[in-house]
Amino acid sequence: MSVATARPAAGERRRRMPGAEGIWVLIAGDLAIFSLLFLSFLLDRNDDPATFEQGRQALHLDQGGINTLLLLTGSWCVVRALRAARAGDAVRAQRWLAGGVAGGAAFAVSKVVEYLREVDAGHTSTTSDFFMYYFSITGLHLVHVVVGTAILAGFLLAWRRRGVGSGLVAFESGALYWHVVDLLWIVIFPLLYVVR
Amino acid sequence: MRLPLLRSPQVVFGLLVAATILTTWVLSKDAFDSRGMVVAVLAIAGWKVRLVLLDFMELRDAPWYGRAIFEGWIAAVVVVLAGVYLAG
Repeated sequence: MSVATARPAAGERRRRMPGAEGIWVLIAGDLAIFSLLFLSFLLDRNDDPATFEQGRQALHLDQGGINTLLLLTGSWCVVRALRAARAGDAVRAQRWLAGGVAGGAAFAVSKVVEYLREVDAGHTSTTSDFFMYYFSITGLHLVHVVVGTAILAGFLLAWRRRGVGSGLVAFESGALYWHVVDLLWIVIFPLLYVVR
Repeated sequence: MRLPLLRSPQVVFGLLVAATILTTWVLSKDAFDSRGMVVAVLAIAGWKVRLVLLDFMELRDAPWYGRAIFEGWIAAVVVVLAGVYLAG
């Protein structure tokens, strides 16, 4: 049922999980996999804190912080896009969604630049256990960013062709996936760049 | 008590940005004790994730079990990660 048509009666508060059925199972599975990676990272760090600290200090903290701000901005844009779409404001919905796509694309470009800087400094996934985790965790996350950005771009194209009135539950699911990309990075960033 | 103004996307976004700046450009400085700083940074990350879950992913208006699962997950992640770090 479309969210736009599923309006509760006055005074009634209808509680529902947003998005399509099954999306939360997918999200839970994703969160479980990353949680195990986070735990494994810290357990291995405890075995060799000096190597992990050396690796951490070689990362670009400022760029990591800016990347966090890019993803947060993208998430905020997607929230605004969904609200505009529910209100039937096609122009604003498309503008905000374009902002979300731009946030994802900017993060991906920045991350590739960061990888190139690391490789240029002689750091690869075989350099140390720290960089093995760094490239594995951020690489898996980058795949999520690319997929999430492509999903948002797909909705943007669909909205431009067919309008924003239909498929709101499907867009809710796409937006949820995007926010998962954001919240995973919220944990990844301090774990890799700040924990010392 | 619910405070709708504090739950607007703009305010939540502002809080997330402020917390990111605090983590990245204030707490990360060497001036702070490592162990206390790391626990604080992990707690801030957990709070940020909770804001995204409740206000961006709209779990605030979800059935109680939906909130409980995902709020429980991030609380467990923060506690376990902080515990493992402190045990190291």
